[in-house]
Amino acid sequence: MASLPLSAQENKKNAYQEYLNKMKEESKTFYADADSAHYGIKYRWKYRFNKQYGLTYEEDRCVLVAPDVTLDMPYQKIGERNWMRKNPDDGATKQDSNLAYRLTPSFYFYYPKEKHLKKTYRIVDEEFLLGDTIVAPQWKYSETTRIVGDYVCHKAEGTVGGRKWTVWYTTELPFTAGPRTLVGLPGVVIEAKDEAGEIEWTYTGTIKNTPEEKLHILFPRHFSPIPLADFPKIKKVFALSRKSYIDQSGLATRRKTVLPEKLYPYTGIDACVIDNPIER
Amino acid sequence: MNIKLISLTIASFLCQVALAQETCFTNYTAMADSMNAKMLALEKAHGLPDINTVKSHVLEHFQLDADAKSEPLNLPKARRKQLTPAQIYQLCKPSTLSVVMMRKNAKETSGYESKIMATAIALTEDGVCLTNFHVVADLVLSGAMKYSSKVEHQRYIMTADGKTYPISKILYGDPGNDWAVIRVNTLGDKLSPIPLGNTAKEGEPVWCLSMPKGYPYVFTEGIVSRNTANLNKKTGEKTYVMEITADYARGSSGGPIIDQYGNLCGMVSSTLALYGDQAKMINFQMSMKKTVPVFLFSEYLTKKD
Repeated sequence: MASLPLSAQENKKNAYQEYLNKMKEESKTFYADADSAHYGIKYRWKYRFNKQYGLTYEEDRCVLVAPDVTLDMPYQKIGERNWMRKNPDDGATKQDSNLAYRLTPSFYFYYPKEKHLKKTYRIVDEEFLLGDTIVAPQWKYSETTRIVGDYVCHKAEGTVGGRKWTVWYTTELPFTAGPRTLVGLPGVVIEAKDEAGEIEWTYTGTIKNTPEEKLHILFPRHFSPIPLADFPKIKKVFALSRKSYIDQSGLATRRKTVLPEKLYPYTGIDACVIDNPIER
Repeated sequence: MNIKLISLTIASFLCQVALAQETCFTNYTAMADSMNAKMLALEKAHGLPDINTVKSHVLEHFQLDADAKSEPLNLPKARRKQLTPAQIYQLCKPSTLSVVMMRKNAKETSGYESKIMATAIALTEDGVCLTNFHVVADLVLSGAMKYSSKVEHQRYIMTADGKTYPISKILYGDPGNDWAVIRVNTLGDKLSPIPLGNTAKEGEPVWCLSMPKGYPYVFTEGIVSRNTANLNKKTGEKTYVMEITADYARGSSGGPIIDQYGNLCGMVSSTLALYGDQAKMINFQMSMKKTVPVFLFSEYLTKKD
């Protein structure tokens, strides 16, 4: 019996499935020697960057936690596309820039034993190593406790990067972790605020490492040969440019490969253009 | 004999009238057909760099900060006399330039082909021009990341009289307001710059001269329908738009918006189609024409120490 020809829609569906399979295969190779995080903490990061107009930058970030390394990175799942899918009537013209569909492709690898913090930044598929410093803040611990999410949290205060912080950390989760430079506590930071009320990390959930959705921590194997002196200008022009400009530039497709599923966000277009918001 | 002479005179007169009328018509197809060969010949004669070489140096000249200022420029003085639309067209046509992309010929294994992709405006005789940031954004972004195109060979401008000059530098870009200042290598020739005017107010007449869909020098008339200031919540920076009613389309990007004196009062940027059902894009109702108001670039171009 002769098989019926496939419809255009079926062809499209098959092509997409093929693409997903290829992406999974590439992902396996890409993350072959990566650390596997035991779990992740998801935060809503808010930065009140303009008091004159009352503007706040918001973004969903997460910290992936493994025994020897933690990674603060953007949380892709609540992305612009998802937001648009959920709000179809608002179209492209009514997007609220305050909503947390912005993603800054900055990555903070912290090695607790060595107290090393390595900051990397990805623009499209080009990795930049921006810093490798020792970070060991001094914390003042308090007896005060409160429940945040499902965890009993302890209060600690300290000065990091020119700002005074109040953090709430829990010892109910294994290992030690915190966003960016808020590290070195005897537990995992669940919430943090600075004294000026400009920056805060609010707990929004715990991410599980499952066989279907593995949480990889992979320090980039290669860094861009582009001089770091050019980085601020490059970052700014990419952050200000629309996605269509990047598409036209050919950068997104210059390497003939399917991007591994975890290699997100792959552009800097939604990057926060406000420089150095944490360290004063 | 006399009859013959009279006949000859009449015939000659009719020929001259026909010729004079014919000069009102431009063979744009012939112009477009010859631009590719002209540019290649120019490139060969002067050893001009290709677009990848230009891109590889893009960050050396490119400015992005709001407080940046241009090198001192010899800008023409603003015109003061009110003009008719026909006069505006005649005066401003030489200042209006086609932006052309030369790519590897898709049909053949070797050779190149050129296509008008946008519009630009001459600001100085020695080659400083204005266009939209989105017209050159790909050059800036891929150049910054040291990415060479395997397809594009040259990006150049063509004047109203068919002369071609390559883009040699991107001097400034304002992605938020969508304008960029570029330099073209005029090889010592002089462009016909347009003077900068003042911001046009709502209701004032404006004209647009541009290359919609690559059709050269389409001249349209309208008024300023709305001037708007918007706060970019992402950056905290203000953006400004002058909306007009003069028609334009894709390819018009970078085209001059001209006031009644023949001065530049804005530049084409984008269109926004309004539908009855915006999400489904059903029931088209109107198209808003968004342009860049002149004060944004005149501030940069005329800033002094």
